[in-house]
Amino acid sequence: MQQYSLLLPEIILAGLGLLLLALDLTVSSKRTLAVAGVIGTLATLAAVVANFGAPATEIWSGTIRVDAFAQYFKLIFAVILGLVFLFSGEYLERREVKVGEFYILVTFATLGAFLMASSLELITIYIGLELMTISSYVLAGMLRNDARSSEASIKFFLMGALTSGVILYGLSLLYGLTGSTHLAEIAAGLAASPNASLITAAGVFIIAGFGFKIAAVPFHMWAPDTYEGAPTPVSAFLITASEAAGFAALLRILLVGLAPALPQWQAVLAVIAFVTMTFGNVTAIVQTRTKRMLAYSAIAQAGYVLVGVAVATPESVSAMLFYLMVYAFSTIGAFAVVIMLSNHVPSEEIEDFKGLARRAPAFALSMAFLLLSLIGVPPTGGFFGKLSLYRAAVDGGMVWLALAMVLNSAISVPYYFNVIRNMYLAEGPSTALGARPGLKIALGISVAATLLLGVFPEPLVGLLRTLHIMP
Amino acid sequence: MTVTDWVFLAIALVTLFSAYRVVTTHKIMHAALWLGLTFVGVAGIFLLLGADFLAAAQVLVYVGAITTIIIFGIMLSSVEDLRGESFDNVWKRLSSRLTSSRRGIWPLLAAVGLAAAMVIVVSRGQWPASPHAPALDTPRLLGEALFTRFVIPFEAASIVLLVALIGAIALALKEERTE
Repeated sequence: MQQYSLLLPEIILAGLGLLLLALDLTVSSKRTLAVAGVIGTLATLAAVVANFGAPATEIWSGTIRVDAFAQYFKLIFAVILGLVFLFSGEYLERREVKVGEFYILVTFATLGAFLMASSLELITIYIGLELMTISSYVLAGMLRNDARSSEASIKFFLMGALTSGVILYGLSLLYGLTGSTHLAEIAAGLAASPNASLITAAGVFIIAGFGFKIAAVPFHMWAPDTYEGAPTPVSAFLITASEAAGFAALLRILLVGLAPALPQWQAVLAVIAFVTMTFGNVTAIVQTRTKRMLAYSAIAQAGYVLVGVAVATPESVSAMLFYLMVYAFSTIGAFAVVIMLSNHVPSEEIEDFKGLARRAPAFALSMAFLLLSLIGVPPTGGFFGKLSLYRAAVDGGMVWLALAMVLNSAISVPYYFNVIRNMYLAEGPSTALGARPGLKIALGISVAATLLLGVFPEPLVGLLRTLHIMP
Repeated sequence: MTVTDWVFLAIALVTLFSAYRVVTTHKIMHAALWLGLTFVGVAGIFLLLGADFLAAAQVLVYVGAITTIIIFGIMLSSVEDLRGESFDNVWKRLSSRLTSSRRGIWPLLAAVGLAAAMVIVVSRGQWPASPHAPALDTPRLLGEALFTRFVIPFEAASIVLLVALIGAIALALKEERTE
């Protein structure tokens, strides 16, 4: 029975997807679907939290691993899913997106992310990845009357299919060398293996493949177009949940499976992290469209998170996990404001933010706070997250990378601040803007969580210290 | 080289060549047929490895069903031939490809470079000494693995199929106007 109780979050989530499928056929009110989605997500969250204290175990003959690392990522994914259910409704109806299918696919995409985070077994990780990305291809193309959405979907699909092939090739080399698809056995096999060049080749393919999935430079070319063209709630989901799932799988594969060969990768990963954050920040400065700016900002943030992977000490991993949580809340909250605005002004230019401080003061204040968190200004969670990443990088002997992060945070100030300037200092239309309660609740949760993580980070930091990625 | 090696080489070349033609031919119907041949080649490789059930499934599903459906799709839709210049003369075509850097030289160099690097890496590697002897009853082994050890990914794969089904309908179904 323990097999089932530990698998409960996944079971509830799969059940929720099927329930939504049935409800979509029988219930005419689309808000009922969102309510059912929120309730199902809360149940999933409860199941995840209930499993938190359980000792790390492998169930289902090693295909599912339940440990604090997996539960932590599932917590992030479930929270994001819940917020997406809360804030998407009005946008979907205004843009004539098929609401039922949207909720179903986003639920199953989250299930895929769950599987990616909670396994040490390559086939399960890969199927989870496919479940997440195939749902995302469709989600990105759901604005059917918008050519940019179709472009987003087709680019994402072609690059995604190619990179899945690249990842599979890398994984097949690992299987060929060790005869196992389980990461712990692979690590044992590789430690005894004399094939340095083959292991290097496998590492190249795996890092390149997951580099595409997390949109790290130079594998980012699909990301700005996809994040810009996709429906805004989908962009929010992809930038947060999908990216975090990529990091979860990459961390497991690199730090558990390829652990014997890890030192040779750290320099490469550090360079990728540096290039990613610099490219993202510099390109974001010149953007005039909100979603494109946020897309480049997401690339830059992925660079910061990659610092945690490159340093690869227990401290850097927990700093990076903390940052991922803060980043998820700040980004989802910022997207909630963007969605609110684009419900009234469909153009999605940064100019649209003009005068928002008078049109919707609470939204403007929240947006300013969340952007400050993305820059990394105290007392936001982003400040503490970046601080622990710097500290981990310095302690891990990569001082130049910490310096690069500081410089990049400075580079990122203009484009985030440009939005704040538009909201507070520029003249704009004066009609008041409003939103449905769901969106307000989602924004409130995001702001509150970002603030709490900045002011009281200790409980989460303490939790992360006890969390081990290694088996 | 043993006979098996030669057979493998022949099948691999056929597979690679037909896969190459899938993306380079200008007639979409030809592309579909080349794709069918690629699938047959993959089935041949499965057979060579002693995976007879997989080979049969590959022929049934990919060659039999998927290629046929693609051909039906082409015939039912009004897809014209793919754009792009087409020369009847092979050499003319080749020279025009090679002179365009974006579609000719760089992809070719990248592909050849990667292939050469992988050949060197793989030939220098030491693979585990004894590959498993080909099993006689692969359907039973496969079924056992799918329903015992790999039951979770197996179930997840069924959800992947469900998602693909929903997604295809969501993207392809015509909007019904309710006004």
